Order: sequence, then C-alpha cells, then structure tokens
Amino acid sequence: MALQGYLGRVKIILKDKEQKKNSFKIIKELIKTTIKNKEIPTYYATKFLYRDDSGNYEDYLSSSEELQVRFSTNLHKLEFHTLLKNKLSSALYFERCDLAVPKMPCYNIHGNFFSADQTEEISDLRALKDFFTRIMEKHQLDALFLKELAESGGVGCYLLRKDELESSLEKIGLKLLKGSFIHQEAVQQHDTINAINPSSLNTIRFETYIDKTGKIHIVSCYMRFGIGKSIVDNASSGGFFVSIDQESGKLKGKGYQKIKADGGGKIFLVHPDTNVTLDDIEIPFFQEACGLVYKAVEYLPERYVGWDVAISATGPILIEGNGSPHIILADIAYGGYRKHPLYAEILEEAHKGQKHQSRMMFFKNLAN
Amino acid sequence: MNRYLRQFKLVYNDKNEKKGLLQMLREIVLLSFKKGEPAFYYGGKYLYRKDIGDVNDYLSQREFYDLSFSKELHNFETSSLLRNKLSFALYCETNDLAVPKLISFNLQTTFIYDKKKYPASCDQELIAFFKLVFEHSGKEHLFLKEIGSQGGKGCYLIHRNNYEKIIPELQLAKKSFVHQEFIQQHPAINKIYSGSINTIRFITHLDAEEKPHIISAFMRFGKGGNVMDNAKSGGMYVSIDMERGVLYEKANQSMSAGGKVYTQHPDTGFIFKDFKIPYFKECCALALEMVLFIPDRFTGWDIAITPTGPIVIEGNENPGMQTADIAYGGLLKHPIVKDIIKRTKN
Repeated sequence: MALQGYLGRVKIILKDKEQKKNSFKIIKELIKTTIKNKEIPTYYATKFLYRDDSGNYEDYLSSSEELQVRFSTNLHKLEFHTLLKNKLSSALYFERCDLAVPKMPCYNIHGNFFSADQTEEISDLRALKDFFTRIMEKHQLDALFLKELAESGGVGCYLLRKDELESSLEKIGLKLLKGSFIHQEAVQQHDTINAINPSSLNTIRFETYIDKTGKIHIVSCYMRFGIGKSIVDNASSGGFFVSIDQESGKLKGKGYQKIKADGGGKIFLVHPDTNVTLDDIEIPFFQEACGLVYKAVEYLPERYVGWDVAISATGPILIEGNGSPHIILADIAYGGYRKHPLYAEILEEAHKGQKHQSRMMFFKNLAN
Repeated sequence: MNRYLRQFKLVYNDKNEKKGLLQMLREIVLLSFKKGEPAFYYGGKYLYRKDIGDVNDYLSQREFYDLSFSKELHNFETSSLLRNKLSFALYCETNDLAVPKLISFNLQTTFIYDKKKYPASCDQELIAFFKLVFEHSGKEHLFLKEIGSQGGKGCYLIHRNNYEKIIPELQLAKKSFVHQEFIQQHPAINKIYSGSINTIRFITHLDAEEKPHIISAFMRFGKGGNVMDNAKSGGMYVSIDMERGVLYEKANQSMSAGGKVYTQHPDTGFIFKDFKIPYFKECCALALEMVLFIPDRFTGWDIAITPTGPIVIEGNENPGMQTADIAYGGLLKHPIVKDIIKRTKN
C-alpha cells in the first residue's frame, strides 16, 4: 500500500507541468538530504522540492523533525491535547471561556442526542429528522454543521440543510446514530471569502508557539479553500492553500494542492470554480483574527497548536484547535520553516522532551 | 525485582491464614500454564490466603489489559471525556448530572473564574485569585484535582482560612487543576471515617444492545488523616452486598500499602459488617445513568454520598481492576466479565 502511494506520487511528479529541477540535481539533493538527516526524504515530493521555484531544499523540515514538534512532551501536554482533540470538550471549553466559537445547539454520543432543553434516545431516521427539524426551528437555523468528535482533516464533517434534511439523513443518518458528533451553527462566511469560494467554509490555519519565556507567537498562517462542491477546505480533502503575508493580511502568491497517491499537486493562481485571482486579496478582519488566536492560546496554553479560524460577516470565529497539527502545509506555505527566525528555538525545545508514547495522542480508538 | 522481593516479604509476614507452601507452588505453576503467562499477580491478589476461593476466578495481567485497552470497550470520544477532569466537569454540568460544582480552574498559568482569565505569574497573584474565588463563590473549601491525574494523585483541599499559606507550596501554575466545591458527606458515612470523601467504586459495562450493567461495587475509606480514600493512598476497600446495599465484613488494604485486613475502621473502630449504605439504590441508578451519558463500555465510577443523595466524583475509563477483582472475589466468576474476556480472546 505504501509502495503504491510512493509510485502514485512519482507519477504525479512526472506529469507535473511546473518547471522542474533537472534529474541530476534532484538525485544529488535526495542523496545529500538522506545522509544529512539519516532518513529517506519521502517528503521531498510532497513538499514540491523537485520544482525549480521551491527555494532552498535545506530550509524544509525533515519528517522526524515534524514528528518531534508535533508530539514532543516539552511542547504538548496530554490534558491540553485531549481538550483540543475531543471536539465536544473543546466546544464546551471555549464556550465557557466566552471565545468567539460557532454556537452548538446540540450534539450526540451514539444514539443519545443532547440539546439545552432535553436529552433523548434516538434509534431511527424518522425520529432523527424530527429532532433536527425541532432544533432548526427553535434556533431559526437553515443549516447545521456536524463534526465527528475525534476526526480530523475534514473527515466526518457534514452540512445538514433544513430544505434537504430527509435526503441528507438517508445518506448519513445511520453513521450519525452510530457515531458521536457536535452539531454547530453553520458560520455565515464573509462576502469577500464567499466571492472566492462559497461552497465551503474557508479557514485560516494559524500555527502558534509559546516560547521559552512564555511569550505567544504566531509562527505562520495560510488560508485553505475548498474546491468544487466540497463542504470542507482541508488539503487532504482536495482543497488547496495559499500563504498569507502576516504584515499586510493579504493572500500571497499561489495556491498549492497537496500531492496524494491518486492525484493533486496542482498550482492555482485563481480559484478554479470562481476564477477569482488569489494573490493580494485582503482578508477581512485579519488583525481581529490574529487577536482571537492570541486569546485562544492564553486560554489554552499548549505550546504548539494549529488553529483554524473562519471569517464571518461580523468578525473572526474560532473553528477548532489542533494539538498536534500536520506541519507539512505550513512548511510549504512558509517556503521552508528552517529559515523562520523562531524555528531553531522551536526545534531545540521540541528535542528537550521525548515524543509522547500515549496512544491517546495519536489515535482515536485507543484508550491508553 | 525489588517489587517482587517486597511482595514476597509481605506474603511471608502476612498474619492471615495461608495455604501450605506446596499448594501455593502448585497453584502458581498451574495458573501460569492455564493463563499462558507467569502468575506474578498471585501475591498481589492475596491468592495465597486460605479464604480466597477459586484462584482461577481472578484476572491475569493479560486479561486485565484486555479489559483496559480493548478497542471493543473503549474509544477516544468517551475515554478522553473521562480522562480529562475538566472535560468531564464541563460535560456533566452541561447535562445537569450530579457532580461537584466546578468553581474555577487553571491550565498551568491560565487561571479562570467566571469566564475571566486572571494573572498568575507569582504567589501574590495566585493568592489574590483564590481570595476572589472564595469571596465571590462564598465557599468555605475548594477541592483541587489535577486534570490529567489518576489514583488520587494531585488532589488538595484548601480552606478559606489556610489557602494563603498552602497555595505557594502547591505550585499550582506548573500543572492544571479543576477547583471544585467540597462536598458534604452523609453523616452516617462520616461516622466510619470523616477525614476523606469515602466513595463507592462501581464497575459498569454497556453491552452490545446498549444496556448498562453494574458488574460490581465496593466502598473505599481513607485512614490516618488522609484526605483520599484510594487504596494506593493507604486506604482500604470493602465489598458491597449488592442486593441488600450493605458492606461485607472485611476491608482490604492494597498490598503496596501493607496488605492489612480490617473488620473495623482503624481510626474510629466502626464495624464494617452490615453497615447499610444510605441512598444505595439511588447510587446504582446514578451509575447506570452515567453510562448512558458517557457510553464507554467498561468504566469505573466513583460515587460519593451527600446528606441529600449520591454525587459522581469521577469516571475512570481504565479502572484499577486489581482492587475490583479482589473485592469481588475473582471477577471471572461474573458471567458478563467471563463473556467479555472470551470475546476479546477470539
């Protein structure tokens, strides 16, 4: 399976129409990186380092460095991690702290459906439809966004529209009844962002770091956009991501799509569905979004987190925090984290602790 | 190695009636063959004592792991709600479940009361924080519990008259704690031991038809001024006659705490046998209700009894089965546990 994945990526690279480095240079860089990092640089392709405009390949993090930052005991605490990773816990926590988060009128754990006024056991689709109809009418909502409690990467997310309730529940109802989901109000996205892509909630991913002295930093940020009819913007769900110039709060350069075994790796100058040019678009409420992220870190002082922030018509909204974020996209968006002025310290701090061994950190189904 | 030598010493010095050496050796060898692993638990579960019953009914180490880490029994959603004491408190409060009120909390240096964050960079600021919490909440005590700890570790009781002295010693800002109201214990239980909140540990199982069951229950008591009732903290535990809701005769101490057997509480002289637990039926109903709210399939619930009824102190997705196994007299004789173990082995 892994071999198939690698072969798939090689195929995409061979077909890639972007200007590539010559084969000799690619082989030389691969060998040098292998010797230097003492690991096979499988990330060479996924970080587009074979492309001519990728910058200095030595500026990019190796896979083991990424893992160290994601799971270091010196950067991550189990109690913060579980609070972030369990979407129900984090929704309840951020509500309690009065942070700007989507309202959660209800949620379910298996067949038990919880709302402010009652708890009910639901076992069939008819009762499920009645439940959502009642909630949507009571809260005057046209849609609810459902997210599975322990999933990530856009997996387990469903948009439930009032006018398509029956057909949607026919498709996802049984999955809902067997799983555990939070049911949040669908965020009304700002018009400027809707003009780029209206079909998904397009979020900014902020990576934050608390340094040795306790000071909070935004390490980098980039914005993700969905493609086609996808309701999620995640790169692993086919979307793409664009860097943000932190000073101006504007999109910067091209959009990158993640390389996967079965496709991807495209470059976008305009959004493929709306043809809106990406470069130089000013993100509304960007400074407020940064402020919200700083506040979120103050309330949940995990040392390295990836925060997803959406921009609504009235301001930023915190969608979620990721306690062990995939750093690969941020590394690409930044053009190589090793040249980031903070990253030498981040790596040093990450190496001060072992990697977490608790399975609670990595998987959703194990309890250790 | 040291642990086993210590255990050997405790077994040797144990004044309870023991089996003969040959019988012990025979049982250890047979158990090791039958379970397919060395029976290191033989001493820790007091299987060398004469009144222990059938040694085959006790869980081996591997069977214990099967129950604790089975993917069939536990998942991240429910396990993380139980493991993280802040998540648990927020979740239970949202659902109006009977739990101690969460007054304030801290995630390391982030101290939060009534949705506001307060500075905590030095002892003076911490003391000012708790001064505000005590004044605004009107509480006499606060019970602080470390968010990610288990087995009674990281628990502190502070009083509005002594917090200024205690807070600097606790170094709270280095860890994360929930700050809960201190519950009042039922006077009948206070008569046995009033120094700690003495909880009942219920072991529950949610079956494939989503029906909750109580597997077993035992009650824990602190001793010697200790504010914790856990066996690991030196306390003792007594089995409960589930039908009558009364305590059985003997209380055991864990092997690591000395392995003593008591028929009356060492501090008060209170005789355990036939003590009728107040609100016991309500306790059972609460344990079963909790399973429906947090449907982990194998859970340990700690329930305390106040003058007005039971209250859930916490849930453990990985309950210490050693104590439950001893208290029950071998959990493998319980048909549900036997069935679970059989299924996890297949």
